[in-house]
Amino acid sequence: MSIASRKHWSGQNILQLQKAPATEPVSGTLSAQSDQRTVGTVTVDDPRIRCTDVNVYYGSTHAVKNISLDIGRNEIVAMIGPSGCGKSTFLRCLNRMNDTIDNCSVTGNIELDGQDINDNSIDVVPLRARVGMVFQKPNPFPKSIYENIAFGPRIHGLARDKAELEEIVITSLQKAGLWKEIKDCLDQPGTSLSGGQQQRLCIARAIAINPEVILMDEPCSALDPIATAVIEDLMNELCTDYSIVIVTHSMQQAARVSHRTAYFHLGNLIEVAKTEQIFTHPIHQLTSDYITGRIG
Amino acid sequence: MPGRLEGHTIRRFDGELEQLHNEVLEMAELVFEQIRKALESFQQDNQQIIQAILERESQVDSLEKRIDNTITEVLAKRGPVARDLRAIMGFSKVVTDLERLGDEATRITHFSTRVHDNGPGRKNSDMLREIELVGDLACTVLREAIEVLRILDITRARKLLSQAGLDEEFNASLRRLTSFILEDALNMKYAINIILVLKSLERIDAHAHNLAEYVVYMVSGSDIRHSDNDQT
Repeated sequence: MSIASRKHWSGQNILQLQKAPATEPVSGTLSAQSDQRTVGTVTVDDPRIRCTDVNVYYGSTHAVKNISLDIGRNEIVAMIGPSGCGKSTFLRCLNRMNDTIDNCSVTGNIELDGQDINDNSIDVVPLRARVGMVFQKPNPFPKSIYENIAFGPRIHGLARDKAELEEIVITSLQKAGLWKEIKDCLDQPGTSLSGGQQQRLCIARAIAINPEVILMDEPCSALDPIATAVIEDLMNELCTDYSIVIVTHSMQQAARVSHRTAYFHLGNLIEVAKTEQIFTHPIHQLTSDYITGRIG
Repeated sequence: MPGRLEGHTIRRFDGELEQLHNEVLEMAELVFEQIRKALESFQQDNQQIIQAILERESQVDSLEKRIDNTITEVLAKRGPVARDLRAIMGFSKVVTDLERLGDEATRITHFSTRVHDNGPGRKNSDMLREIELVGDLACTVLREAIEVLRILDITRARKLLSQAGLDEEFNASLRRLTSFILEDALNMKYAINIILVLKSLERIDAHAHNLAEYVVYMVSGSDIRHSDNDQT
């Protein structure tokens, strides 16, 4: 299925990527010895997030190197690469989760709707409401299903009264595709749900506070194929309202859910392109070697 | 730039792709041999050759099924992407063309039987020379296409594709055969069979070009099929 025909995908942001290149790219022609400039178009028109020359250091370790990448509105971007390549570190920059790590420093510019998220005037709490996150392992609060969802809107003051809060809870659970399954047991503990349901509960919790972007760090790695399929289908639905950035080790998942795919290697962004292109004829040899399983 | 099918961390995948490549080459060699023998059968009335070709047709068909099965298994087990996916898709297309090449060999054999039924004669032998001439050219092109497929060499594939097809030779032969018919209308039936064989040889040349196009796609990802039509 082409990107243009994908349900809910406007295609607007990647039009520039669909223009025919001046010269036909030949798959796997850029070798590992080529310079480390990113292959492909990193920018989109009217981005939700614009990252420019982002570097991350853990003490003296240079974990993310000069990465520039836009995240479009209503776009799903998958980040793939071997362990330790910097994809999760880069993801965590997008809502300043790296602030919680003592020896971590971030340089470069990251703008959310044109606003620098690392500016001193930015409060990280509302930032993390705007840029929500779903982790590898479902982490529901040790509270009821209802309270798991209601907690965020309540502390962010998104509901004026109980009825409005209830409306948010119901809408969030519906958007996360969980409502029908748990509508009769909202007072049960969130931890009593299955793994897949818990992960969807976490997604519902993230969307309850009206985010613009949802970051997902290997959200399906602890789930069975059925629960994974449900989450992937949900992502397709959610991208009508949100931008989604997903880190995944499953190449097939990246191919199935994302509009664009970014390949990371040793802290560098090697290649970014339409997902169809990455998985049929990637330009960089490193990308080709990784996705075809030729990396040691 | 020769294509590379090996180098996977999962070595069994290397083996599976190599097996697939070998099976495709085995089918290609069998089909080439069928075509060569079919053309040889015009030079001598050898019923044994014709019979052998018709019997080996089933071998081509069963190879096609075996390769399709291998492709299905590799797709199901490995979920190939990028150059591996292109290679497998390419082999799948190659097999279809090889099967059609096998059909052309059988078709030529049937014409050979009809031509021999017409009996010997000077005119007939002159007309048969047309088959020899165009047949040699078609076999040379097909031999090169199979070699390109063996080593997955994009440079040689592009070189083969840059060469003109057999249109010119076909048209020249057609003119000569027309003059035989004009000389004596009794040559008509014989000449028509020869023309149909030449048409088969023209198709063999086209299939050989297809094989080279698939190799370009497998190695580089560039789909150059119908590029003449694209430019118009």
